[in-house]
Amino acid sequence: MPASDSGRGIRLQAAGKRRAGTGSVRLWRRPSPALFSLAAALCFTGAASADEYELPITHYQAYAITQIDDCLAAAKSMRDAVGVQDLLGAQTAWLAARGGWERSEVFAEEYFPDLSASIDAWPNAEAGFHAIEAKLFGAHQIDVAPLADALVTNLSELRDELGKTTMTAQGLLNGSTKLAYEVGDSKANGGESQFSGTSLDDVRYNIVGIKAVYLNVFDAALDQRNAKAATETRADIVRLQELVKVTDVKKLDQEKLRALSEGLALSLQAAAVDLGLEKPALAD
Amino acid sequence: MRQFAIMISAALAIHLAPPASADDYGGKNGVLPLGTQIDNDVLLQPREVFSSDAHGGSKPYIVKLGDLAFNSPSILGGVARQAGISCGTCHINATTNARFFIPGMSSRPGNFDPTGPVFNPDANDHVVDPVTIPSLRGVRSLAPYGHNGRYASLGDFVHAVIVNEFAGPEPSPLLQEAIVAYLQDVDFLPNPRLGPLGHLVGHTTDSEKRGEALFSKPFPGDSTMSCAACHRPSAAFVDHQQHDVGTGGLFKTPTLLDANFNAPYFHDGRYDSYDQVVAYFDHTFALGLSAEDRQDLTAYLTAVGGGERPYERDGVALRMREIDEFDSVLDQAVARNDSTIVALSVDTIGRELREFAEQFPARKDVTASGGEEQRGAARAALKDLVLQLRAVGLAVGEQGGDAAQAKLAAYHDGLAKDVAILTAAEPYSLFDPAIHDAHFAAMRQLFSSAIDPRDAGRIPADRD
Repeated sequence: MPASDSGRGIRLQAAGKRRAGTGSVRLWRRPSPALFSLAAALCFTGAASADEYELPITHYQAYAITQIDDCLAAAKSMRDAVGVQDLLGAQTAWLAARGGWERSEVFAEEYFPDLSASIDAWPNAEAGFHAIEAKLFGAHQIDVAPLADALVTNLSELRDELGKTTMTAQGLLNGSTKLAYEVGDSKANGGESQFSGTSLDDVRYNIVGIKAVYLNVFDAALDQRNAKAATETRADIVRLQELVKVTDVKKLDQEKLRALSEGLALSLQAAAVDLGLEKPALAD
Repeated sequence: MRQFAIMISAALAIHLAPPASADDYGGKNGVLPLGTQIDNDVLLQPREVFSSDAHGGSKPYIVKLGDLAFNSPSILGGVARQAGISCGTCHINATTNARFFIPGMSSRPGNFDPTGPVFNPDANDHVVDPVTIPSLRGVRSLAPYGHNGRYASLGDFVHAVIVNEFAGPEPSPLLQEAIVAYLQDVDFLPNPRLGPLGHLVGHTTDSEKRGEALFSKPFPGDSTMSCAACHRPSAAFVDHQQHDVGTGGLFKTPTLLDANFNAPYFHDGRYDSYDQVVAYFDHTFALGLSAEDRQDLTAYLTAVGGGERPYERDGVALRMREIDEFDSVLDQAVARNDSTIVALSVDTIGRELREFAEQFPARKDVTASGGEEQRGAARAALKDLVLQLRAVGLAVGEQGGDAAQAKLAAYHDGLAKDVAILTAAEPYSLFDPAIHDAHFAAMRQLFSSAIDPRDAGRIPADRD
């Protein structure tokens, strides 16, 4: 499964067939004319308004739901594969679920911290993705039925909660900033997903997650008020994406990753003023 | 300084063995080989004693800069830099690291082959000949340098380690000088059992006294030889010479000061205890020692090799003290608009702050309970400091002077405010032994669950 958004096109159909009509989500800056003019109309004066983010967040949230839906569907496939003792099938489904999850971390930890803690528990071996990963990819054992059931249950609950939640610009900026910082954590020991060896994908998906939030919710508004800051923030994201194009986590320049991740987090913090939001705190 | 780096949370020894300790690392896709053990996650840290502090002074800038560079992976190259290995990883607080183990580079924990395959392929001599990681306390009195004493100058030796052994870039003369200045400032631990000329003083047991006498007694086969002939009590228990004592070549006389904390012994770490060392010499030089003689010599060596308060408990206070020391280097570098040293400081301190933040378990660490609010606040505070620090580095690079000073002031303000937040969270952190144990027990369980049963038969005995 490719970890980048390349191949998905510049515009990502967030709703797809299932949710036709809920709009599209950009993964790179190619402003939808309608969105752009709406944003411009709302914020041309420079005054911040909660309404300004309403439509972009609606679009983003629809995209977010597709990510969790994909993740949940893959988790269910994994559970089914576990049920029929299909190790390869379970591993493949685990990897698919992981991608959706890593793209969702940008909002999941912010809005659903408890569920997120269970789903992505570390280092506890009794819950979540990593406990399953250790068994499937380390031990090559498939005795993870209770763990897979719990993961599906937690993801289903998160999906339900997500449908009832109204995301805010502040929440999404907080989540993006925190994740930008986390991207810079050391991968010297193989990174977050050591057993499956997919840590580099984790980072790439995290960056895709941040980029989806930034471009769809904040870029137009920031560009209106502080074009230089918007250009810089976009450049920060591009530099990170370029850096993680290496083929192997061993080749990843850890110092540079840290510097770029912190640079992006600073850009997002600084953007808060222009965006009429509070400076994002980094609390878990 | 506590070594930096590597907040290596865990090891991956899936196919070979369960981690011997929870901070093993070298993941499936990790930078270092599977089964690597760095062991920097211990709650007791070797205490550093500085000569410049001892006389009521304070450490000069050059010493602090050297300390910082010593703990900075970015002065090394290739694999070491990628893995976050610094001088201080092996020489924890300028001492040793008895549990350091890298497959292919070590034959046992605590030794290391500097001409092995991992760090600099160009230096690989294809002979597995690991040597112990010497403590560097009192190193200014211990020339020549290297186990075989091939370098007369500490500076030349430091240079060789950086460039040859760890594939680092040519160090600037300033940085090399600074590392030497730092190392020359690190003292042996004070040992009140020894007088100025290295004789036992104060309350001394009969056994220790007999051991001291035996130590100077000529060998039966050669009256010019005695233990003390090479390990001269009045000269830090060395003679600055290389000798062949039948261990496979010429090796320099190691000091016996602080040696209680520096096992394993001999150049290759073949012995774990003084008993074994004494037995070796007794046998090799036909000393004809009685069982009591051996015990007496061991008692004497233990008195000589001791020191006051060898360890300090890791915690918020210790970490803050380290950060303050490094910050003073940053302050001067910013004042001088020295972008090279600012970059080195930001990288090194930032690494330390990130690792510090990880001492406060995140919400997803469900082994931790209690103090969730305090832990969260501590993590947030340290992460924010990391960003404020980065902002200093960016300002020096892009804006210079006043802007950088303003960012630096903001960073210092943040740091000062954070002390209370961090202290409040300390009881819920990995600095607490019970929480530390629970966290690493969970990690061991996770890694154990990742062992393929087909490999279980190949699991070697615990390396400890």
